[in-house]
Amino acid sequence: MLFNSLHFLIFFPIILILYFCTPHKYRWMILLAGSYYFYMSWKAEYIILIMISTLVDYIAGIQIDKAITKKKKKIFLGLSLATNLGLLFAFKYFNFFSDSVRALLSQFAIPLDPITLKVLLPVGISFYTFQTLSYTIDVYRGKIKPEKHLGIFAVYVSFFPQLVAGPILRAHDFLPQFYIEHKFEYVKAVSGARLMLWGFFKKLVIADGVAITANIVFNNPGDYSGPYLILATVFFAIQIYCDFSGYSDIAIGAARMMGFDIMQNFRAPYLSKSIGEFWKRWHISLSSWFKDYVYIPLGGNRVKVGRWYINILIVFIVSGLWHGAAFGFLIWGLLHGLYLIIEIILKNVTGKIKINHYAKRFICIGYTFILVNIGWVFFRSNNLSDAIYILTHTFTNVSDIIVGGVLIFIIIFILFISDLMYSNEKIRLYLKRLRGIGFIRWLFYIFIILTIAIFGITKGLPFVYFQF
Amino acid sequence: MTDFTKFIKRVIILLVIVIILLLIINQLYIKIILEKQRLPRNQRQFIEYKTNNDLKVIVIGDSLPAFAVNPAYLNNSFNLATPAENFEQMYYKVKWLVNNEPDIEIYVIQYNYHSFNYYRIKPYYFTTYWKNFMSYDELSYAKDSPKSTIFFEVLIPVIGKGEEIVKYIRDWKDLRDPKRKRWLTTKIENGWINDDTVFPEDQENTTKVAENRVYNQFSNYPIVREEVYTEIFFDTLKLLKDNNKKVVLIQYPLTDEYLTALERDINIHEEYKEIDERIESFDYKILDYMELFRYNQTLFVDSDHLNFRGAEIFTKKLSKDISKK
Repeated sequence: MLFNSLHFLIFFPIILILYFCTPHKYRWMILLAGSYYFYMSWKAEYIILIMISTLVDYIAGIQIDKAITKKKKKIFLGLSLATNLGLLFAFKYFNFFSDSVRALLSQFAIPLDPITLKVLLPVGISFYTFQTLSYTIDVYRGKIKPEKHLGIFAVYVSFFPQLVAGPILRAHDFLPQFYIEHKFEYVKAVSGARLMLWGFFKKLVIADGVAITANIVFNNPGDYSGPYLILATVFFAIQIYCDFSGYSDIAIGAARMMGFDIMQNFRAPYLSKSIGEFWKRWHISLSSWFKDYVYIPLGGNRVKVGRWYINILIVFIVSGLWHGAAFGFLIWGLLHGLYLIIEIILKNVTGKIKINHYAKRFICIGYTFILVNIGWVFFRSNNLSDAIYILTHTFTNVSDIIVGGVLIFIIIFILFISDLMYSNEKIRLYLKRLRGIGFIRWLFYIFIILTIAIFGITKGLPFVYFQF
Repeated sequence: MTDFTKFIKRVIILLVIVIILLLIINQLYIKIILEKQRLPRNQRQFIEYKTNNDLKVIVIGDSLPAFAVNPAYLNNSFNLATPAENFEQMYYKVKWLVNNEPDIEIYVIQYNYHSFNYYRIKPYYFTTYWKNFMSYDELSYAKDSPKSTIFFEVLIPVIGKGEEIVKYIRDWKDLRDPKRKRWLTTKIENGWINDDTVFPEDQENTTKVAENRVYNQFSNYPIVREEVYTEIFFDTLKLLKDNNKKVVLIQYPLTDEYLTALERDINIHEEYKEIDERIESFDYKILDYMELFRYNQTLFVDSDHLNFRGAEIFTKKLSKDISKK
């Protein structure tokens, strides 16, 4: 089921009403039934994968806690890792791996008929796999106690608002919330509904709107010159941000309406002044997952400098591959890793440059945005040769660039203005005061809903991150 | 009042306001923009015509027949062709006509080669128009959208039409000048698009215009035919055959610039020989007018559409040829 479908607009109020009309003790049943229904409306049989993941991790969690010896704990942790990563590998990476082996062997003139699995990638598999993995690893590390209630644990794995595209929740944050009786709170419900509305606006009006142009150019980059290639790249940057953060807003808003608090996944990422900062603002739940479960176990920055850089590269390559089994994602990850390493190396030099505060801020935001966009070219292009074509033809027909540049500037300005509203304390306070005036608040809601209805793309295009 | 009832009450009030406003905007959109566009006007004229006249001949196809056939010179006919109509849409239209307008005897079907290629942008954009000829199931299948979405698109056509509204506001001043913006002010008479533009006078580089047109229409050039459209085309012919309808297949006139661009790397007739033979097995004749005005640019609006002068000469000839048949 897509958030941007009539199906969801009927489904969600029903679940919300049922949830609050059901005694606290049985609410997990509503959420579990709702979550499974939500997932099964896409492809019913794939719910089995979620059930397998749930059962294995539930048992593994309890057994790890019960086990007295480290060895036994490791066996159950291994079982959980093998099951989850095994399913992920089989459904997401097997064909890529098989094709890569074939390509490698063909370089040495060794023919190989590759085995490929004709299976559809289960929606959200990377998200719920990482969520359950964090649970068993945390139980193994003794950070949390295992969840004894299978039903509640099943809801934790499959909670419908964030099931297919995150944010990736941590057990210690989320599981205790099931034991608190959520009473319907007007303020929380309004705040959740408002966030959902904003998410729908971002997805249906902005993301799907700019996607039309971005898709046309990225599907046939050879037909376009520099300004169009730049425009399409910036449009894609806008698309992926509004699409993904729009989804997160809807997820967080829906959960909030039911009384749950879900972590923020984006904090105005395109206003970052460095790549390091970008990763603290973009897809926060995944970045922090990699930090806690890959980067720190590798030694983080408490190792020799060379090893530290390798750790960074490993994290970003794995992050790239998490997005998909393709060389474009791999290069995207590698590129961000390299950006970060270069940033660390140059930190001492750039830190000494004396420049006006605002000018420095502007330059830093600009250069970060450009670097991120170069990465998006690899992320979005249909193949590597397209990506290289785009990057090498960016400055063709330069005379048209001024026109394209002005257009891009306007778009970025419009986009950032909304983020600025949230990041600037003064603007936030002013908006809060404005929000206090009921009439203006209602006018704003009406305007947003009408804009979604009239300008939104009604085709029900899936969210970009569903494919991961 | 509990928080829950307060919330529900306010959501309902908000939705009621939004729905009322949306319905007002919808009505304004229908009156000011939608009803003035070619397809809804064509449909209104069609209903009016069949109510007041004896409809015997129907012209079906895309913009080529829409510009080329003036029903004033073809007895008891109506031009139901609409711009950018593909063979799938033609099939549904014919199916509806066969079932609902049994008095129609002759179907004048377009058989120009570009329709065997997928190049149409936004097919079924006017859901309200296509709902006249298709069921919700058919539209849902054709548009690859849920039936509920189709239902709302038909009920409240303004949904998702923001771009069109912006276009209207942008063109508002120019819309008063029928020469400058044609999308709302085209003259339509019994479905025929009456355009007085003259190709060489209107375009600086006629060759370039024709080349762009051809390579847009035949986007996989020199591959000039897609199997899926071929089969739908023959499904339409079979449907007409099964219902004992008289069919006239027309290849509409094209300019020299267009034909030269089309035949740059291929012999188009050779490419379509197999299709021609299949048509003959239906015992249907093809009337090939592609070269009729090849060297007479002044009869065209652009590289492949006839203007009002061209339409008059062409339809008179067509009328004679149909009578001979």
